[in-house]
This record gives sequence, C-alpha cells and structure tokens, in this order.
Amino acid sequence: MVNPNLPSAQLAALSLEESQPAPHRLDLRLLPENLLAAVQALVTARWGYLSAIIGLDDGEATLEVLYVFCDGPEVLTLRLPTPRNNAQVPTLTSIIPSAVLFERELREMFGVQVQGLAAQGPLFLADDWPPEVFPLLKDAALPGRLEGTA
Amino acid sequence: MQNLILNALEKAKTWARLNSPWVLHYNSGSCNGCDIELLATITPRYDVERFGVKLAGSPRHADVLIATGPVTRQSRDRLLRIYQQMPEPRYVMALGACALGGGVFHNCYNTLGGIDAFLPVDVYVPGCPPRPEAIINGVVLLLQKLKGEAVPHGEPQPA
Ligand code: SF4
Repeated sequence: MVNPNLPSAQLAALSLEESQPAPHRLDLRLLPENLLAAVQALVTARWGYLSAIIGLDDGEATLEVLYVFCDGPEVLTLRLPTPRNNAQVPTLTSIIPSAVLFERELREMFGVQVQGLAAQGPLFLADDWPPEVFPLLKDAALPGRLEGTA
Repeated sequence: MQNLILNALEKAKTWARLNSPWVLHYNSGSCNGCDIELLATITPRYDVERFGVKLAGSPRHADVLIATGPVTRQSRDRLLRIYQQMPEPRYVMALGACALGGGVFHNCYNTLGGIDAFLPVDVYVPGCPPRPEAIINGVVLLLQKLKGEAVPHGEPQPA
C-alpha cells in the first residue's frame, strides 16, 4: 500500500478474510457488527475516503454490501455478507454523514435495511413506484409499462 | 366570403411557421449527450436562427417539440403536459437513439420506451448523439412535411 497510514493490524483483527484481487486492491470480508469499528479506524488514521457503497446480488441467499474506500491509486473494499430475506447493515452516518445518499440508494434499490438511518421515504425512484419492489434485486417483480396516449 | 378569409389566414400562418418554426426542447430522461448536441446546433457555429429556428421559452409559443431521451416513469406525465400545452398544429421531433426506442436504456426498470410510445412523432433523428448536421437535416425534413411535400423515408436513394 502506498499510503502507510492504513491501520492494517486493526482491520485484520476485525475481518474474516482478506484477499488482493488486483494490484493496489485489498478486499476484506467483515461481519456487519464490525463495520463501524473498521470505518472508524480508517477515518481516525485518515486513510482514504468513502468512494461508494454498492449492493451486490448474485441471485443467491446472501447479498453483499460493498463499502469502497479509495486513497490515490489504492482501493480498499469492505465486503459485508447479509441474508437476502433479512438484509441489514448499520448506518455509517454517525461517522461519515454524507454516506446518507449511498445508504438511501442501497435501501431503495436492494431493500437492505439501514439501521439508524434518520432519512425516511423514497428519493431515487419515481413518485408512483410501487412500495416493496426493489429494482436491482435479481428477482424483482418490476411494475408493468404504463399505457401510452399516442 | 368568411371561408376565403379563413383560408387566407391559414395560408399566412403556414407561411410564418415555415419561415420561423419555434422549438421547445424537453429532456425526458436523456443522458445529456443529445441535449449538448442540440445546444451546439443553436450556437452561432451552426446558427439555425438564420432559418428562423429559435428556442421558445414556453410550450404555448412553440410549434415543434424536440424531445431527447427515453421516457422515464417520472417524466412521462410532464412530457404529456408540455405537449398538451402546445397550440395546434404541433409537431414532435424525436432526437437520438433513446428517443427513438429507448436506446441504451431500453428495458431499464425506470424507462417506458421511446417518445413514440406516448406522442405522435413526425421526424426521427437517429444517432447517439446525432450530430448538429443530422439535427438540421431533421428540421429540413420537418419543414418539407409542413409544406406538404413528399418526405423521403430511410436513406436517400442514388438517382
Ligand atoms: S441517444 Fe445517446 S447521447 Fe442521446 S440520450 Fe441516448 S445515450 Fe445519450
């Protein structure tokens, strides 16, 4: 890693598994209960910034939520597995307030419950979007097309 | 007598429209590529204002609706409302692959299709995005249509 501030020992203690999918990249698998400690360690060490929060649906019983942190050329991904039928992650907004946009997107697109997120209601989907339909899940029952007037 | 006056008035209106079609631009879900090309068409470099083509500030003053992008679920009602506010006769030009049939957004969860799924389209301008020359060609085709001339479909055939 180019930035020597990475709190490697702390992260290793919190993660289940570590892999390097490519040069300059590090993937850590964590349990949801260790997420906040890991993010706090990164913020305290001033390593990188939160670049994205991504939902990942492989069509299996477990979804993954990816927290991507970047620092120069380096990309650190915290991967949280969570069960599809009861997907839950804690909110990062107590540490990184601007994560609210990513978390609302995660909630609307994947139906992942973000515990502790103050913001309510839809933000991205259309006003008449049916509730409880999460368009980026592989098995989403998308609403039919509207009738034209042409 | 009354008919004569009305006919003359109608002719005058068509003449005015042909020489100065005012357009309204609406983006119902475009990636902005088409919008940038349309703006380039209006700049002095291409200068369509010399043909009297000019952006209208309100749908109530517009003759032609230039629609870019697919119709998204959220913008469908706005598109229809704008169209309904335009005075008759009104014309629609669909600009770009997305406006023609959804383009790269085809079958996306929040799009409903091209412009012609909701509005009667008079001219289709393909391209992703179409170049200003293609847009000007589209306007010329539309004017031919307004004049009642035959409009070629597809590629012009070699003579
Ligand atoms: S046709 Fe191409 S440039 Fe135009 S809105 Fe679609 S993707 Fe963008």
